[in-house]
Amino acid sequence: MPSIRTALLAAALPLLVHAAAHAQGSPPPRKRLDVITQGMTPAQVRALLGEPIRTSRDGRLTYLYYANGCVGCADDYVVVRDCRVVGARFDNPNRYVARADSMDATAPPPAECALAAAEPARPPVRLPDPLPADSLRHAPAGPRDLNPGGAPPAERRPLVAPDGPTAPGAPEAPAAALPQQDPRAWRAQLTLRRPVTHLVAVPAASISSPTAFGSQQGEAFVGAAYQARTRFTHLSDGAFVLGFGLGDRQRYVGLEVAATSYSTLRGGGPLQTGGLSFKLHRALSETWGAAVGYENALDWGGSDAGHSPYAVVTHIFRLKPDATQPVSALAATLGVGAGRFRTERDVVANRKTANVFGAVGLQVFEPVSVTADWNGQDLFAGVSVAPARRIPFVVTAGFADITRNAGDGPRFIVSAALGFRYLPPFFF
Amino acid sequence: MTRATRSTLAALAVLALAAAPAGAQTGNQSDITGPVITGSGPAGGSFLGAGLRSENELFGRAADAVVFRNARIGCAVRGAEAAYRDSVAREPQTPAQRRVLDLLAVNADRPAADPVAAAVAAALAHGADPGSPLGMAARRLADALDGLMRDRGGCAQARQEYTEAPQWREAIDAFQHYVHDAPDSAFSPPAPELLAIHAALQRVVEEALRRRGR
Repeated sequence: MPSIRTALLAAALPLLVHAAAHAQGSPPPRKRLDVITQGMTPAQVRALLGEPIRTSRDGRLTYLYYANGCVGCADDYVVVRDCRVVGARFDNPNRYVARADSMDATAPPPAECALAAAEPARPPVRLPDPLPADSLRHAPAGPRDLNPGGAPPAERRPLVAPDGPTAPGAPEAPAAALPQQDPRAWRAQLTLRRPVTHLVAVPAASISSPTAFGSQQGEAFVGAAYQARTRFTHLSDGAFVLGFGLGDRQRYVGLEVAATSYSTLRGGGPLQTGGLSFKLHRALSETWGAAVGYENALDWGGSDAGHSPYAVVTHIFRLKPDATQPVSALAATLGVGAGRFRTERDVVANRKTANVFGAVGLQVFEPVSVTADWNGQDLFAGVSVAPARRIPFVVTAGFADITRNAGDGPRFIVSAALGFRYLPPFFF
Repeated sequence: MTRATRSTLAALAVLALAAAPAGAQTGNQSDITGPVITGSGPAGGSFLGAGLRSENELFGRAADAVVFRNARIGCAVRGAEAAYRDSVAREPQTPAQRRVLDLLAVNADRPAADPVAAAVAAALAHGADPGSPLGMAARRLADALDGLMRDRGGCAQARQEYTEAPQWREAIDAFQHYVHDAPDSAFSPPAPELLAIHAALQRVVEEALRRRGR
């Protein structure tokens, strides 16, 4: 018998030595990673992580909580909405949540939506579980994203609380019940009062030629013009205008209507001589506009302005992205028209022709522009200033007929106009 | 009456006398030989497009991008955000406030954003379907607030460097849209989260506008 025991021990010894060597030198078996993917059903979550230690609801969201062994941390949780996982937060390093590129939109079977059958009782030694909001508040930044089987995130909160004191969080305040009041009162109370939007003043880009931009619904303007002397005389003259817009220039078309009182200073007085002008205009883009118009389509009192149909386009060249910077924009206008846009020779000969007109305005500073304007008869040049940034009041001064093409030499001219809204809010 | 005012009035009187009525002229010699005011051209605006232009206190446009109106505004917003982060750090917070401040990244120990945004959106949706107008407005607002007030460092030189401007604009627009367009049921009473969002946005915007003038 001793020989048999000796033989058995001799046979077992190599096996024990091999087992001991294996236990000391080989790596431990790898732990399984639990990957929760967006779109999973609660049943799939339970199959992977087991029964939750508790569940809670917040609106349409359901939270499934799982213990994670992290001292001082809130429990891990999975967020479910409409029977699908929409997110999770894990402190357990063996749990990960993976973002799904596209979630299954089909409704899972009711059995798949079952949450924990019974909420296990909390261990008596544990502190009361925080509310979901508290867990959000105190939870450390978990896995920022999501790696279905990839490398774990670089930073992980340790599962053991650090020796030093933890950073104090903000004190908690009880949630107060909100009073019941009229929804309109709530809307008024909750509407952000600022930032507000103001009208902004921008200088003019033409002096005599019409541009392709105009007023639309809610916008109006008043203005006055003065010339130190008219052609071939030493007598000054002035005019006034009141106009308004209709329509929507961006979605459809805008219509600008302007009533002008001519010869107001030296004639019979306001509105004794005048004309009614129309312009249909459309914004083709932020920088392009097109318009057709008819100046003095209706007139009275013997005005010598004549009837002037025209078509015009305007383009804004953005020289700098910031309009507050110097030399930020250039506005170019090109059109063709009859009536006053004809050459002086054709006007005198009463030839029914058409002629080209155009204007170029350079925004030198945000409130200042310089403009050269060829209206088909003579060249205008001037400076336009919007002195108050929040008030659309524009003054333009310069000289007409500086090339002596029509008339008897340069003449000083000036105009001033104010834009406003005729529908409230007048200034917004 | 100052001397300058008297001089101005005297100049205007001289101008009025010089503009005494005269005999009518033949065609093409008076009514259209000065500044032509048959339209809104003299009222300006052409450099910014058609008609009257408006300007927001905070925002502007650079090409097609939303930016702060100028770099000073951007700096004021960042300063206001920092002041707000400091001020709420020690204030008591209700659970709803915590959710909102976590979403805004005001709280230092901010958890993962997705569940917080989902929770805030769910609260704002008042149980409405996510695909409903209210659900979508709630989700839009929650998404716009995600990380809005996180610490981005100090001030920059140019307004284009304040890359948070579009998100600020979107957050304000989304909030206004929610308040104006949500059904009455969403205000009977409103979600506490909505009040917390309003308080945060209002406080930072007011402070930024106040700092702008410094």
